[in-house]
Amino acid sequence: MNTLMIPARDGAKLACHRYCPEEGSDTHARLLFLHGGSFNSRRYANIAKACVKKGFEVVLCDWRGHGDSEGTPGTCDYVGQLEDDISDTISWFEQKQPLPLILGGHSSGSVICLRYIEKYGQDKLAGCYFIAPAISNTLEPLRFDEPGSKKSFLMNYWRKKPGYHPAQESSLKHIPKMNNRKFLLALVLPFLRHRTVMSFPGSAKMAALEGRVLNYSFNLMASVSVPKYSIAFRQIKVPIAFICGEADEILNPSFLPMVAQWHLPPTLDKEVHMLPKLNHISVLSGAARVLPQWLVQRWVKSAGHQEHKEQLLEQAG
Amino acid sequence: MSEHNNEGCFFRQQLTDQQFPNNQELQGFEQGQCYIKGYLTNEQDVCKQLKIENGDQQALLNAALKYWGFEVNKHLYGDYVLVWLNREQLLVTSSARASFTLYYQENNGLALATDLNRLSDQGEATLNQAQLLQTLALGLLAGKNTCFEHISQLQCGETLIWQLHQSIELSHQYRLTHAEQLKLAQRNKLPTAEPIAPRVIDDVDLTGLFNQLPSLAHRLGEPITDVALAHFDSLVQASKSDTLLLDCSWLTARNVIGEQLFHNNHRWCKDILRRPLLQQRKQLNKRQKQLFTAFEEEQNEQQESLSFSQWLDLHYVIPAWCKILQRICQHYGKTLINPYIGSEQIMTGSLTEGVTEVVSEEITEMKQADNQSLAYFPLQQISLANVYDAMQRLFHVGEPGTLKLFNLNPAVTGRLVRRQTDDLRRVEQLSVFLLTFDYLARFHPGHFN
Repeated sequence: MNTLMIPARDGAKLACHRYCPEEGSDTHARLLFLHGGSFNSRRYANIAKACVKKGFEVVLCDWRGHGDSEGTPGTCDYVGQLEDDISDTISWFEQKQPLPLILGGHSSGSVICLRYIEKYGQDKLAGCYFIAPAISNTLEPLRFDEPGSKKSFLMNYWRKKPGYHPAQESSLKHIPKMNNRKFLLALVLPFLRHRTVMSFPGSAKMAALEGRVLNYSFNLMASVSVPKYSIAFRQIKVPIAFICGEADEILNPSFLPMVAQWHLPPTLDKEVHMLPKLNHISVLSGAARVLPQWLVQRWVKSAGHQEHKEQLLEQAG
Repeated sequence: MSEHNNEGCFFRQQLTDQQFPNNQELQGFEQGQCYIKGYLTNEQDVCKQLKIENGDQQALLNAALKYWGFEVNKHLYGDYVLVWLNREQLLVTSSARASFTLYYQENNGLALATDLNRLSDQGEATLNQAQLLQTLALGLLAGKNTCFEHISQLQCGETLIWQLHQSIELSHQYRLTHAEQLKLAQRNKLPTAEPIAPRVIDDVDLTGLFNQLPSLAHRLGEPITDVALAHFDSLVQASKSDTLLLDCSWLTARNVIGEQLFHNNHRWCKDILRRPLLQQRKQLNKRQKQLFTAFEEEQNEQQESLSFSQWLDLHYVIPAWCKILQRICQHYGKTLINPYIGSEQIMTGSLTEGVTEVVSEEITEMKQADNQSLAYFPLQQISLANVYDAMQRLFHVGEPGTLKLFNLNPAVTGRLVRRQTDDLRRVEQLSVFLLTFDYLARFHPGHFN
């Protein structure tokens, strides 16, 4: 593994941890991986190693302000800066050594990928994958009811919600808490958009040791959310995989199968892997098993891959 | 029974100028040959009658057409659609009570196909709003129209002949009467087939069923009118045999129209229809009058004692339902053997599980209870994979085309769900129709917007 510092359009250096297959062996494609909210790339080395074994180059990217990347922790300059950073990273690799590119991430990282696809299209992508994508702008993807969800349901549907299913204590350790008052103030007053509106659970000491960022500003929070997921997903035209634990604390277990059937194009190459007993974090061990299989089925020794690779080489040469 | 043909066919001839007189596209069959989709049940008898060597179906069909011409469907028994083409003519015919479908498009030439998607994907298809309102108000009824303008379907027992000159003309149109069709259909000896599992809704995986709706709508190329179709689809997919015998429990899932409700059928969902659809009421009323007149004429001729709703069920609802079940089987390369329903079964009431005709208060209550039990999705269960919730979500995420035709205001949909608890199945059907319509609008915006 080697760490590259890639310049973003504003001059900030973004850390990319690159895992390459052994020298002399064929590299089928390049995976760009974005870590989940509050974390950094360190946690994802097992997935990278599993994919490298199958002949894929993996680039674990630290978001700006996270891990080894430059930037202010917990905020960004404007809403949408993170997908601009992905675009810059992709362009940099494309110039240096073109390979078919597969983009994805975990939790909020996969939401940034979705935002990238919405903004920049998929011309540069050969595939995408979403591990437990934390889509939380609307009520329906959520596994547990939030306080006030009965009222929201009544306001949205003009019917009474018959049940209320709040999250158990044990499930709350991965769910960030939003300060609604601060959020609304930041929404109205742009100069407050660098102040914290959302906090992840966890002790500050442990977070410092792990290199985690626990507090997010309005700008950063809005950069990791998709207002209308159905519109974003329908644009996808490249092979796509969803990987999620059945015991995920954030996502309703019916959500991803529903998205795959109702919001992705009917003829698209799509797969949903709902892994039993795994939650929002432990799904990473399952993903290290499932993701390489999905990649091998599609990009190893296929004629399409060869063609795509030749095209890219021609463009570069 | 003859061998099943599950291969589709496609024909197109565009109006051309004199420089290109033969602008024809053909798939699945050749000029001078017959194409048959479905099966014959009296092949051996016809072979003997026409002195044809048994086993050569193409020779048999050619000889039968030569001998009986456009009346061939009176002599060939079975369940099929037949296409015959030469340089000058195109003939299409279907058996009495055929459950196989053939679509044709008479717009800037002539095109026909066994798969609706082949015609609607040609780029000129637009939505037939009058047909849309009819389906919402009355459910599936057998007829010529499809949900697309200019795309029609061959009706049961109908024969059409076009002259293929530079201007394509329909030169012959004939359809067997209802009585003739019933008589001929009863002569069919049902071939042996694996019975498909009966319709039991207690142990259905509702999330799976909900997620099956879009792919079914995509395959069929039109919105889904009932969750039962997705249930049927899952059982067909799981079945091992290529030939399936329809279990009568699947016929009870059809939308039976009560006599009193016939004239005000769309009132229950009127609030949800926007102006473009409400403007189609004249055509709906016209169609209702046509059906009623046809019923009265037939009653006078035949002195039958079927009520209007029984007559409608026998000749329009059941054939339409069987056609859609057959189309689902065809997508898996399977053939559905249709046990033909006669007027006796309709009159004895063995298939009237869902009838909403008002007879007495007690019976009405019983039937309403039946209707509730027939609905798949429970109203009080709030879930991501629940059609009622999903219908209400369309207000937030629906397509412009859907929102232009349907008033999906949460207050309106909420009231519909709250108040129609005694007729839950109809709300379920409406929800399923809206959801699959919106899905198709999302991925086929040219057709459904």
